[in-house]
Amino acid sequence: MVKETMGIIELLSKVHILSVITFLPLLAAAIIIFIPGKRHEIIKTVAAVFSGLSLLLGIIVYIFFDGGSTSLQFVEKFRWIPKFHIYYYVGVDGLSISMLLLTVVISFVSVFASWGIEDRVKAYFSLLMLLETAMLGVFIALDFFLFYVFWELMLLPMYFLIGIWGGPRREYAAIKFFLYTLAGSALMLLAMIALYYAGGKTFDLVKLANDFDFSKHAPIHLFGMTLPFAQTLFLALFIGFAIKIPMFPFHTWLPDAHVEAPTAISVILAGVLLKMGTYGIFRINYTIFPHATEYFAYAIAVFGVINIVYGALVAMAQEDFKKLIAYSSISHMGIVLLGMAALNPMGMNGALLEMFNHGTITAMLFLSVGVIYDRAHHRDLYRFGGLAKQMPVYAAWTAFAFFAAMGLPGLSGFISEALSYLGALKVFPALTVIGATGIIFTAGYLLWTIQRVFLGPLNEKYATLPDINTREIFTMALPGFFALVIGWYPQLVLGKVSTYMIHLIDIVTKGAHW
Amino acid sequence: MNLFSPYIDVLKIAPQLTLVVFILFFVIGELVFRRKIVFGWFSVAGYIIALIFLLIGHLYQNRVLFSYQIVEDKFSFFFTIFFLLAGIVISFFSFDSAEIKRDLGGEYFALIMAAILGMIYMAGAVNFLMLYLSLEMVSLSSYLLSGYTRDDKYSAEAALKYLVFGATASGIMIMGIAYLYGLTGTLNFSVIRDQLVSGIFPSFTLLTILFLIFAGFFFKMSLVPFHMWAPDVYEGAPTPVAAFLAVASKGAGFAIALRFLYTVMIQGSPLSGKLLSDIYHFIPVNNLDWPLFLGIISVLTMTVGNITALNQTSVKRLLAYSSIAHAGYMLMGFAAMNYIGFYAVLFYLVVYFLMNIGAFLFVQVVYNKIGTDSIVKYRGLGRRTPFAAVMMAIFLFSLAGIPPLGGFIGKFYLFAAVLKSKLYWLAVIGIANSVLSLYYYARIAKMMFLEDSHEKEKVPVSAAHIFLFVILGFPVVILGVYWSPVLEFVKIYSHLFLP
Amino acid sequence: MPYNGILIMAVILFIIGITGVMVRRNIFIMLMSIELILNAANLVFIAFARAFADPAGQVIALLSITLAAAEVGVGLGIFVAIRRTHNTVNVDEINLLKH
Repeated sequence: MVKETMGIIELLSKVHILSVITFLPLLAAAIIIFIPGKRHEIIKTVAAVFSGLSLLLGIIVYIFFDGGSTSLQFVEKFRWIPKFHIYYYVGVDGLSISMLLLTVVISFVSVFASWGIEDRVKAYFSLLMLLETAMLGVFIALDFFLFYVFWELMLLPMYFLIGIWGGPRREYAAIKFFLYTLAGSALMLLAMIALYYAGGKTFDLVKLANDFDFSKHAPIHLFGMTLPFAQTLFLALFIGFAIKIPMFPFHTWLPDAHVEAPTAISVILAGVLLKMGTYGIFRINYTIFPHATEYFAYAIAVFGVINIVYGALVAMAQEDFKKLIAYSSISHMGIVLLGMAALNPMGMNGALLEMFNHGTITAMLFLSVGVIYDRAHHRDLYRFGGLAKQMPVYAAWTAFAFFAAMGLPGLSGFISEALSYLGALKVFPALTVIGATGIIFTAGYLLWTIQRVFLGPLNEKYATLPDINTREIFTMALPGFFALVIGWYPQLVLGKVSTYMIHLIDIVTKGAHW
Repeated sequence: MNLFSPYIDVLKIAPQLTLVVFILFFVIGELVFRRKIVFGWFSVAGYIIALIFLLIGHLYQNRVLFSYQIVEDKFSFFFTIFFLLAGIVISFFSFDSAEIKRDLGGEYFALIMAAILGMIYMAGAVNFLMLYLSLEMVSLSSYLLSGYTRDDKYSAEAALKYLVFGATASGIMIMGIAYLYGLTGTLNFSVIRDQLVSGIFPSFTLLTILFLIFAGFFFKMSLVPFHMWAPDVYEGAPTPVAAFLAVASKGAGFAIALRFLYTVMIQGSPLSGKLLSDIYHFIPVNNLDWPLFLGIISVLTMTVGNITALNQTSVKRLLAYSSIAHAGYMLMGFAAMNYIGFYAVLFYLVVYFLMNIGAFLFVQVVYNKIGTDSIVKYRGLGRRTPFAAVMMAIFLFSLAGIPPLGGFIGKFYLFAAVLKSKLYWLAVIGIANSVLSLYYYARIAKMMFLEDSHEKEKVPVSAAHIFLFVILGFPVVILGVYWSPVLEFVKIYSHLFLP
Repeated sequence: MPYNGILIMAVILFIIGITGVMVRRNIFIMLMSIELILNAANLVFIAFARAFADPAGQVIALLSITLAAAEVGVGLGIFVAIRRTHNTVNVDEINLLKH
């Protein structure tokens, strides 16, 4: 049995499985360009088939990934631009494997969530597929340059997807998203090049993490200030990632982008893109700047708590259904920040699991907003009411998603939030207590929303609304499956990630090698 | 020196002579051929023949021609190819231009060719006499070209402004050259360099002279404070001419600035030796701090260019300010004073050539149909001309430096050069500018794709223009993914020969 | 050095020329001011050429005069076009292109 498994792993490595998963959607995009624009069904089918293939292969890789090992698996390394030491270097470890799974799941879901698109279908699906390639690339890249290219590659499709198919203020939202993210990645670019020269000319993230100690590097002189090298670069990278998370005070692009984006794009945005911020911090900041990480851990926790409480309070004040979910995302990403700052096994595992769970749960939340918006054509929470009678199945699914987001025991959100809070409690007791009030606020706004939308007397205008259809149920069921299963069997994810996450703590605190 | 050497040299400049022959032919060709397109094809043929002669002649070693007036080395070879290709592209560009009148073909292509001939000499000039002559040759042709549509008010005005600015700038430069001549007793680059290295000159005097000479260079490169002509000229001149000035003329400015600064104004002449390693750091002659000065000019130029571009209503004008900003980015490579900076400028010029001409090409395609380049008229072009609009989007985002497009790689090397020299302030301001620039590039993309107009009529793209879009657009994408060959090329050809 | 006077003269000419270009608004006068700048440079060249007994300075001065003539030729051509399209010789009134 063991031998067979080894054989399959070898086979998977030999066929460059990670590259195949990543570039299948790009191939789909290329195929879609050559399909006549009027053949909507064919275009959609191609997108579904290719992202389905990516999903299938992603699950296979996930199954055969050895969760007991801290080493990189399915590694591929080719010279790309040898004269500048740039490699095409990809691989997965415990950190990226969970995000890989999340990305293929959410992308697949978003293809079906986009089934209703009728305007410029060809452009939409080729951009969506390009976006999937870029997202997958970010999670498997082990060369900083490659990582950066994929990171930026996301921007263009995202800009057009929000800008062309979005809501009434889509142009503003799209350019705001673009500029914020670009500002962040601009800092990342400078930090990357500075690391290249400080670290003996390499973009190899593993080498940068293992072979160099940047805490003793000569300081940076900038505008008359003398700044310590490691801390400055840590911050430059951190701000780049924090904008993506989005961490308070860099969060203002998120509500706009979400409100204007079409449903499927909101799902991707909340489900995958936000995770890239925290993923980047884990992948790059934690491994390359261990000392600076410890130095800033408390600050990260503080911002995490601000995110939790601020996000929840602002969510409570929202009248727009989608904006409410957007702010709840900010709140939940705060939990990730708090957990990751704890630097103990519970907190780190909790943070990573929360990233995964939030990805699936928020996807459900946005899908459910999309369902009601498609029918009622508005999202004003005060203009609904009593929909549970009219759309019982829809109400049940939405309630399920809400309970998962609330962290109800038995659903996935509970496990990850509990782990994050418990981990943080050991290190930052006072902060965690403040942060934990977020749970109450969250429960508050979510329950209140259920009450406003589903309970009470039925608004007569909506007496004819059809219930959720099979396609929509299908899109919600896939992430819902994970929300339910992880609630009972968290080992599904933790089994693959926890060894690496505990090792990551050693990297940060004990100077262990990646 | 051999008395006959000048006559022998004549044979060695076959590419340039080819251009001369064609220019002369254009002058009388009007008598025979009446259609513009004929001259267009003739000029393309001329550039190709010159290119063939160049490639044959390239088999020879570095050499000095006409009693130390010009050299032929790897660097001049690179730029000669650059200018000849620009000539070919601009010829195709002009084929279907509504602005260039059909009955006035010969002069137009002759002037373009004369300007290119001047640029080729500029790239090889190692003597201030030759430098001044070739620079003026480019300038005079450019003045006429920008005023080419002579019945058009805007075009005439552009030509006037260009002339006044240009003549003043070159006047200031020749004054600087005169005093440098007084200081060193020669006009020859290599002798001047020997004098500067061995003699002690007051650095205040030297810097003053240097700034005077810079006036001429800055004008061609459209750097602050000699940038004011660019927006007016680009807006008023016919679109092919604007593209030509933005790319070829600016390239010539960079060629001469690179040659002058990196042969005369640095300690030693390392670029004439073997291939340098990436970490090679140049030292300015007599420790004159011209790199810092150029760094400050770079910051000013890119900031002025980007901020002014933000609220332009004419796309041509916007591209003019963007090209000013790009000159500022390229100047970062000078300030870095290392070998990466040197070849990064050449690499950037290659990418800039592709994406900037491409952007102007789109402006022309739209102008041919709707007769304006006003940004609000770009609404909904994504539906009216999908192929060209997608290409334009590629050019714009490449100009903004978004990976995986060529413009990003160009900027990457410039920033690498700056950070290699630990000029963090320059890098931070440069990157902030780069982010800022996205706003106005994305604004055009927004108009084309995100907004709709009631106009539904298709905008036609002629065959020549499709051809150009393809040969300009695909390299931009490919260079963003795999740029090794071009990088190796510019590294090999960043060799300055100093006799 | 006996050439000091000439050099100072050249600088004065240069400054007058620059000022003329910047201050005067008649195209003719501006072209003449540019000529002054060029002539200032020519003066310096010739002075140094004599001092060094080197022909290069005289050569560049001669060529510079030729170029100046060509420049004025082009300038006058443009002047005619401006005169026809704008009906003025005052650059302040030639302002269709924004500043």
